[in-house]
Amino acid sequence: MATATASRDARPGATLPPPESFGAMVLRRFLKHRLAVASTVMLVVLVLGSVIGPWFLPAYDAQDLSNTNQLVPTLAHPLGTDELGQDVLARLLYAGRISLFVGLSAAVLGVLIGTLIGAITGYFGKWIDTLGMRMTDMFLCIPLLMLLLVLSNFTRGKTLVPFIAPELQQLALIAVIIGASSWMGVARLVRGEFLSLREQEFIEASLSVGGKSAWIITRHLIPNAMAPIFVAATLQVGEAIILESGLSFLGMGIQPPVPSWGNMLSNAQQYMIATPWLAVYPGIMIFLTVVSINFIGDGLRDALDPKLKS
Amino acid sequence: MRRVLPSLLSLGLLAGCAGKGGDQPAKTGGAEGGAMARTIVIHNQQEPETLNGAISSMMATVDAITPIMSALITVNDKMEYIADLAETVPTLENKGVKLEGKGMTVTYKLRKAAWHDGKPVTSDDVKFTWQVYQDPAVKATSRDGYDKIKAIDTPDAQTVVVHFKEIYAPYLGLFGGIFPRHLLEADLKKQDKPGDSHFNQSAWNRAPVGSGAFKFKEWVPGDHITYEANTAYYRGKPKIDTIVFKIIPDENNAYTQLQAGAIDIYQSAALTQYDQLKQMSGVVIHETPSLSYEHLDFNLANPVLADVKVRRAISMAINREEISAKIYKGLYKAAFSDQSPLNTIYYEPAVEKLSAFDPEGAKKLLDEAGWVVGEDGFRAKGGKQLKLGIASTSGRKPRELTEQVMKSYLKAVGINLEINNVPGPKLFGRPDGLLYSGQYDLGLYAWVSNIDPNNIFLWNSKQHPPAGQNYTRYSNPEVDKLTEAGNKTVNTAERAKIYKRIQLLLAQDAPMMPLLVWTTLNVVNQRIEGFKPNPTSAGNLWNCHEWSIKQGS
Amino acid sequence: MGAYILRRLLTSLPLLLGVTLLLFCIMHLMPGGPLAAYTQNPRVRPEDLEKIKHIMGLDQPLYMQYLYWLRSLLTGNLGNSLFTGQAVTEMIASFLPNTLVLMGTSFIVSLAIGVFLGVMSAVKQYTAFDFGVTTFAFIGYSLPVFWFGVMLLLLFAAQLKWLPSGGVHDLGETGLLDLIEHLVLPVTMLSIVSVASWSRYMRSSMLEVIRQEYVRTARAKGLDEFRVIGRHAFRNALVPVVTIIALALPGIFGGAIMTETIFAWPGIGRLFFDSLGRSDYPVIMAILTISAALVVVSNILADIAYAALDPRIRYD
Repeated sequence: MATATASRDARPGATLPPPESFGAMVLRRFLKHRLAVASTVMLVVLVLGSVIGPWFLPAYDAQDLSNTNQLVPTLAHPLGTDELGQDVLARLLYAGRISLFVGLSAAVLGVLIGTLIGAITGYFGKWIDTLGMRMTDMFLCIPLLMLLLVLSNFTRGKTLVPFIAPELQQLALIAVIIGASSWMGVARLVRGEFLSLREQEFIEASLSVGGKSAWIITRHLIPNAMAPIFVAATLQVGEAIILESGLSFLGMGIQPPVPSWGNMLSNAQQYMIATPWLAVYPGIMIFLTVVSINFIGDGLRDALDPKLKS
Repeated sequence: MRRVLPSLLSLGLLAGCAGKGGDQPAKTGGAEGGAMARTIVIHNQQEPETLNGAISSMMATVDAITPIMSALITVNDKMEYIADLAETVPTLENKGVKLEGKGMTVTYKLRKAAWHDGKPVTSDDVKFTWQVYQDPAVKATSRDGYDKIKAIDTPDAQTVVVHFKEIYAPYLGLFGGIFPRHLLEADLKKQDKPGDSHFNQSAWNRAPVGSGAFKFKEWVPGDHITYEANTAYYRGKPKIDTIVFKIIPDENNAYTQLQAGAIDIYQSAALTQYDQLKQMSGVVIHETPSLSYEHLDFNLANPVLADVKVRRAISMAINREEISAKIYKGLYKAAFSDQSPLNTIYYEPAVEKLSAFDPEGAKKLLDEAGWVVGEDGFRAKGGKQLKLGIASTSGRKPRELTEQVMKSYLKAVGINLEINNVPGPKLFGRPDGLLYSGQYDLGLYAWVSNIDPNNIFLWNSKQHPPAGQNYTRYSNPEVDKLTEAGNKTVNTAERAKIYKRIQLLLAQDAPMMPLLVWTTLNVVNQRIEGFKPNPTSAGNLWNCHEWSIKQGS
Repeated sequence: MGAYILRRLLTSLPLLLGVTLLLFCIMHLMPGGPLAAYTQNPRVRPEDLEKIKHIMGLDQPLYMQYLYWLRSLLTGNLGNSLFTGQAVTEMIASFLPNTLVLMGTSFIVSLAIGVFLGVMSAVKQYTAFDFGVTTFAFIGYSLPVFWFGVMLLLLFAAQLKWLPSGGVHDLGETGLLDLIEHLVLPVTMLSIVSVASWSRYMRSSMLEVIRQEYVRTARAKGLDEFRVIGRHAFRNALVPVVTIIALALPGIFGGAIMTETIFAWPGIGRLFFDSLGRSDYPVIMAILTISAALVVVSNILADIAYAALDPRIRYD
């Protein structure tokens, strides 16, 4: 039926088009952000390239020592070969799988933990808040480097879970560690949102009707805080990727022969004088991926921001 | 310095003109003319943790203290012993060494020398040095040899008579750094806590007073150490005024600084930069064979490897020259012995023929040993495939590549090689490192030869771990006898015969396969004269008092 | 508020204690250990190894080692390095000025540029300037910093030779100009990310404030734009940004490990990384404890600032 607002187009008997759904509105607003759209395309290309690409290119662990450090692109090796004679493009794409997987899982983990902790401390307040915030402080004090050194020492060579390959376990471990050390920002964010949201009237209303805490948190608070959480989650992926590459760069992350953009960069360090381009490619890949993710995050933020007129 | 920080306005202009700046290194350290101090800047990758040679665990310390400290005897770049603080090298031939019953006596005559604070260096300081090494509260890394000394007499200020309990052939390696009694005795006697002498934490360790060619001036932690010339040096006044020991951990940074003229000497340059270094103008590359050599240990406790035919076969199946050409730019030379070929007195050239590359011969030996080639291309005997594991330090590209190449060589003769790399500490550590505990088949790593041929700790059957480093668990009674005798023979000609015989036996028994001798690249700005790279533990600064700067540079 | 501060400080003490204990345990679980250099050196005999272990104080049971360390900490003594034998306070004191110079300069530069860019781009929203700054911020935020630093080194030091490639000073020089030359590249590397993210925070905070009614009121009252922005909007926009910045303070001490390594800058970051590598326990514990204390203090400062400046927030 017609809404209360009269429209100029209202003809007797005509009905207004159904109101735009939330998802459609977000999509429309997102599409207005040109860079975000371009970045989405770029990211899709990158992800597809990483996932599918290696099937079309030569296996990355073929080592032909007669063909090392060739930087002139050829048909067989579009980006040349590295110090071991491996095809650079293949390695880059394969490393993309690794870095993207680790980045994504670390971010998901971090956001989950952060949201949980932020929600609980932000909602209940008082001593729970104090405890939660002190825990956050504590985690902020532990340097990532040390934790990684210790944990990698424990698991190197040993298989914690028998039916998963050791390489995969290594990746999972790195993802867990990065996730476990990046939840603090999200927790603070969620806590801040909850602190201000819970003072608002609709919460009071809900409480007065007899709503329970868990209900209020999951049904009211989290959806309203969803927008910044979502944006933060997106940005976390970018940060996680950079963190993973930084760790691999220092030798603490993914270990060769499993390629990641970070350890490709650290490998290339030795050849910086001889073949500097080996260092440029992985860096560019990281940069392109992360910048796309960040633009997408920005587009999402604009699309979800209720205060922006559209 | 010829580099310029452009002002923002002229950024555009300079971008056009400055270009690549050429490959010519500029001058060092702000020297605009002859009036400034003559300074040579030498780079090192690591910072020493202390300047006290007795308690240091780092190689970087040796280079850092060579300019400051005097040794009784040192080694030159031709691997010959030369006298430093002593007047001559005491040997059996010149009666400096006398055999007395079960032991021996070595007499050193000291030159007239002074500590950097002016006090004279006396024989008492030498005696003090021995006492330092013997003191259990000193954090000494190696007391080898000093514990064989019974007593030291100092009949006068310039004469030292060392009485050894037994015949100790490597005696010339002792007393590589003489400590000043008058400055350190009090520290030695004081104990910070029971068993911990204050000598270990002494302020002298960060600002040593020695008697060498250069005096310690300052140490800026993390950055550099400065020395200034000791004009009263007993071997002649140094020809330059200052040496700066600059710490640059990153090799790309070292390259850049060499090019910019910020350092004069780039030690142990990375092989990966070799082609660019060759193209750099204004520098000279010294390619010096090192005393370190890559080798393959065979674990003789493994019954497969206990068969000498299998070991000889593996040694013959691997092409050293090709590995060097493919992986080390052809710079590393083939190694055939645990003694360095530079050590001309003790090296036995005949071993080179015994381990030449011969894959056909290898196949024959394996056939003789009863290993039959199967359908998968690999040999088997009694139902077991000829499969061996190789362990090396992970994270070192050249080693990993070597293993890959070896895998294909061994596959060609029917051996299945499996690669299991571990981090350094897991390989070398005690007590549960792989080598020490024998949990390996083939081990790929580097040893360092010594100017003294003593290798009893490697090949004597009494030196199986935990007693020594006989990681191969080799046992040959004749080698046992020879290694023990070699340590007790002071007559050089006799000693040479012993060690040459040992090398021949080792080549026949092949408990290890020496692979490649490392080549060290030292790159020097061409304005420096007198730099002579020294592969021994004396280090490249062994003759720093002879270094000079070319006129007009 | 005073009671709140006191409460926070009091609850922080057991936190710090817990953290030191946790870190101590983690530290001892690291592979290698300070004796690694000796155990891997075949020339060191087992009996000498025992002596060295005793001198380093490592033959005590772990809990005793922790308690000894705690006791000396409470008397202000941070112990001696296992590696160099120097007093740890001396070591930190010798590296600290370099770190402060580097991180301090970077902090001030980032703050100044970040805040300025953020404000201007908020004021000139949707113009080319805003677009440019935003894009630049995204680029800066997405760069892998260590890669960027290496590229800077390669371009400016190796190829163009405009700037030195490392260290704090050229040998023998102590002048300010020389210091600035050496600072340019590492500060650029460090500031890029901070400038990018702080300018974004500043911008979004500024945008929120500008839309507020009191800004419209101020404009309606006839105040000139400069006073509106400068006195009313800016001050209020600064509030959330202050808390973000306060959280960056501990970083000034910890230094930036990668920057210091790439540019051979002798600072605390490098000291920490090197000490980790050789398991120099006293140095590690000292740096960690100081960092932890700084983190706690800066968190308290951030929360206080947040609450003091935004009256809507209440702490029960």
